[in-house]
Amino acid sequence: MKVLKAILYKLKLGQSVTTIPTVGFNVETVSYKKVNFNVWDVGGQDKIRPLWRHYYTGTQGLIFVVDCADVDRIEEAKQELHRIINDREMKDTLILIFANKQDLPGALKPHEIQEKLGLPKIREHNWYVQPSCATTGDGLYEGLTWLTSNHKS
Amino acid sequence: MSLPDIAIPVAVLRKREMKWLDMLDDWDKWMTKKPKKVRERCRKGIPSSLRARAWQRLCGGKKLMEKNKLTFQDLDNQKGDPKWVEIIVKDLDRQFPFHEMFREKGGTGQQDLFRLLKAYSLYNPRDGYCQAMAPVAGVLLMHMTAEEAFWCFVQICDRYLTGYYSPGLEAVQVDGEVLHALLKKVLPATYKHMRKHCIDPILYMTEWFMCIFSRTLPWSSVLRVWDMFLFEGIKVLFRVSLVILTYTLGTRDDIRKCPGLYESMQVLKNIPPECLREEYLVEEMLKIHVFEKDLESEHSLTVARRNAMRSRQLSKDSAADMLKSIEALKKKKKKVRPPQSTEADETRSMISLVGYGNESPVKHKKKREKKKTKERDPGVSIYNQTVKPAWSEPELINVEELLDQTLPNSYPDPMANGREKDRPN
Repeated sequence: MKVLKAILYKLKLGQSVTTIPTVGFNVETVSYKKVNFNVWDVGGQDKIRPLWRHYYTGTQGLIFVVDCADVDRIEEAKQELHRIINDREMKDTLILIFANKQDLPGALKPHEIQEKLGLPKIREHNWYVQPSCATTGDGLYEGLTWLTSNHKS
Repeated sequence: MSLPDIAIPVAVLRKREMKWLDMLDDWDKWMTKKPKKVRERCRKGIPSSLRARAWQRLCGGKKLMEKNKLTFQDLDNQKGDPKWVEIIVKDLDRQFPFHEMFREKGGTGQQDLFRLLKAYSLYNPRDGYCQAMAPVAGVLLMHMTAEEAFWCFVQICDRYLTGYYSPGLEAVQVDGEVLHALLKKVLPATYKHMRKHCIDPILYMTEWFMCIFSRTLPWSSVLRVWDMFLFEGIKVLFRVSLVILTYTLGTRDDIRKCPGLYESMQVLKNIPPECLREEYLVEEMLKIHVFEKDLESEHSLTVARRNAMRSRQLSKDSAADMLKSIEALKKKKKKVRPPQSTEADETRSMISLVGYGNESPVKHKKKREKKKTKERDPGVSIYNQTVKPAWSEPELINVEELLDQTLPNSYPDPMANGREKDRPN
């Protein structure tokens, strides 16, 4: 199963590591409940985003990580998410949203994220919001469970 | 940091140092009279004691700095656009995190990195800061002061990787397609494999090219590649790429072992160290025949295609004409192989006009005649001025003027004048 995301190393290694900003991509396999995920970690800086569409072909799942403590940029996240999923190549993908940084005070709650990202209006995709904290790993595997159980192989 | 894997005898090293000292003393003369000699010495590797000076000369950073004595200080004293400053700061402790110079948070290495990147974001506010810039700046800072590194960096962004960090990142996508086209020529079976599995070059070459291999190769190889790159320009990056592709996916056996996209990407992301060893890599690079003409014509075709696709979105009618012209050009291109200079040049100039295509073909012809001599000069830059040799009279590029430019229609040759066209051995 090919998945795009950005919390790769936590999933792979089970511990936080010093990472360098992604230029291009990193790709790793994550095995969970007998399913192999090929996870593509793409560079996040807005300047690098025009390259993302090259990674869409064959993608079955999108993991979209939202910083819930950064309220100011939630609108930007919404636009970016819709830009990705409206691409023709992404039409059948599952969308897993990690509502990340739940440990921080003032972080938006999952139901708020759902509204702010305009998820209820999405008809063509199966989506799910999973609260998470990447530094401790909370929620990450629950997210993968949702992907495995909704993935039509 | 790894030690060079080629142990050069001390006596040889001393001799090389003397030769480089001699060249650096009379740089302009060497570059005008004996550019091939300089190229050969860059290929052999610049002695590390003189690398900083040589790089500054090769890319023209030194001249630019002498001409603009106060510029860096002026930029350094400014606050910077908060939009860029914020991202630059976030990335400071994530560049070469294990390198002594950059390890310490807020240490001098990180401070200099900030100064350089912030200065550049002010110098070229359109391109501002791109995450791929930091490793490039880091390599320079390991060799020279922030100001010296800044001017070399300016030259690399403006003359070597023109448009690489610009909004939309068009230039790197074009070069991805060019690499694909070269692959078709050099390794047809590998090319077929890549096509079959939709392995778009952008998937594997982005970091290679945008960071000038500084994150891919062992350190001693990075330095050797940079030595060559600063003389010969972008084609060096194509050669390194082709060596890697040949080594990893060059044979039918290699391809059989990588049945799909994922396996192939794994191989390209985890390149066997023996392929990247300085000695092997450089030797193999020099065997690869990436001719300037191949590069130029593939580049022009790609640009024309992309521009046509873009204008198709704007106006379907005019784009159809363009595509027709491109098809015609392709046929013509086939006819002229092996390329004869005049015809190939004609093709190129026509393609470039089609690329901008808002004139009728009749007009082209007249213009073409006029332009012919100019087009034959590999130094015709993307901005339709002849690129001056980087080591002689560099000029500040007026960013304002660039804002409305479409895609470059040819590679700027950083060393255009003063040397003959290249033919790799």
